[in-house]
Amino acid sequence: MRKIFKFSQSLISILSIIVGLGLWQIAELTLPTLVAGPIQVIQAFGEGIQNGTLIPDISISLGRVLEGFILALASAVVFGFILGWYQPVRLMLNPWLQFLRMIPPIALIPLVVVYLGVGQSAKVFVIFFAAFLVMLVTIYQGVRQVDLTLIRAARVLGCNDWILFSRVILPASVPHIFTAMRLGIAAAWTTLVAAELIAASHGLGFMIEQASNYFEMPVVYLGITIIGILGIAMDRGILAMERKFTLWQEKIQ
Amino acid sequence: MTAVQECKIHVDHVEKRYQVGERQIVALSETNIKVNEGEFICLVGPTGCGKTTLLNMIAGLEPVTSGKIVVSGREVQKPGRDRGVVFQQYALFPWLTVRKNIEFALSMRGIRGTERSKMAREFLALVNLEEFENALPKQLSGGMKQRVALARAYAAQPDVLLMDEPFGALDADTKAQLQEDLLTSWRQLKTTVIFITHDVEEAVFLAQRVIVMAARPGRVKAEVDIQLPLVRNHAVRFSSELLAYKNDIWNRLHAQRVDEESIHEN
Repeated sequence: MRKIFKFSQSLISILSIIVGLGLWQIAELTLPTLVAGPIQVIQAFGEGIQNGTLIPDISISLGRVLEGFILALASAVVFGFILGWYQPVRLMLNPWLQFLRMIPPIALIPLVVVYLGVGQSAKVFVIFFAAFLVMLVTIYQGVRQVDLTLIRAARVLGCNDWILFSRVILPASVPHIFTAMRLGIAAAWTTLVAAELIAASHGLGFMIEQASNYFEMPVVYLGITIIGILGIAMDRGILAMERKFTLWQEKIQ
Repeated sequence: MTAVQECKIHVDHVEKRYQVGERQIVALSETNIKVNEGEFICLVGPTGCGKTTLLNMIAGLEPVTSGKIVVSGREVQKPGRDRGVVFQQYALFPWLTVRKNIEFALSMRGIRGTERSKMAREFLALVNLEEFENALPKQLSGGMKQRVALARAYAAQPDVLLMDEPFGALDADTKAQLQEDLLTSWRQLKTTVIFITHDVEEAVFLAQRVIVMAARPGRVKAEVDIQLPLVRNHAVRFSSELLAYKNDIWNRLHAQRVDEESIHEN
């Protein structure tokens, strides 16, 4: 019964994709000069692979995202715990955090271009900035929400600060860390493409920008499609890790 | 010092006040309680009588405003393994299995390796949960969770066990069973117990002495020695002696409610 239910659920998703692609193709037929449909996009994909520009563009963009994201995650976990745990630090840094959080990372790009140029480090910095702030706020809120009773229970069992942190606060915050990662990767990806649209010589954003200058609609659509698919893939990757992590917790012997 | 060491827990002129804006709220007005080694005490009282605050102060989880609390001859400053606490919300670590929860307490005593697993199983046997050692807390019923929490508290080998309405969220049958089991393990381990409840029958059934508290401000209203047999079972629960104690304590609690109503009317 459950199998049938699951099957019909995935059937609906597949149908939805097919209908979507169909509508997209119809849009191309209606507005042939303005819209490139799925078939043209697939052709553009083949051409991009053949002339050897597409794979480098994708891998450059992915590399930037992963570099910025991983740096941001590591720093956000460390600072998230410090901010969540030590009230004076939180009081001191919170106004700045709130201020920085309100600045769209894209608004920093002109400054970053001046200071760091249009190369790799400029992109990584903007991505780091965007993902770090989102993740930091989520993680420190998570640390603050750790059930007080659990902390008290650990204290009365004789925990010192280090054991309390490593064996209670950290595992209790794991769900929040994963939520932060999903928000962070989305922020990183969005920011990267924006940065590449404005100032870059490689990458998916640059590819879209250049194609639109030459009115190569299939390449523009191809770039957009790849960005969407890669974004979903990364999100799913984190989701799968989250599930695996929970599974591991349940398997502790 | 000898005078202090005669009793296990000495709540000595303890007061607890909170500052809420401009107003000072007295959570517990000056309170004196002495608990002897191995004694089982129940604190009963309405919400706001300061019973949980008192328990937290004995545990070292909250500071006293004035006075002092002495446990085993040492003044309480912070939480310690000598004072185990069982919370109403169980407070099991959800990411650890039942046995790992017990082992957490054992590892704080420096016990390692196979010895630790073996001891954890023994403590689980004490609460009849050996076969659930690999279950996660979320897979257990409320009563089972509280048994694990009790086993974990025992595993820390406390001198004093502080229990904050531990059976408050359980159904009547489970509650009765856990009460009898608690008394059985208490007689085995000879721990000093302070048990908070608002259930008068529970207090009389468990305690050797019931301390009746009143609210606004929180204070000790009366102490009642319970002279029922040491081994308490179904027969004791429905005995006329227990009923008489229950009536007595109920009246003392009720009398204070009448007091408060007349205060409100004035």
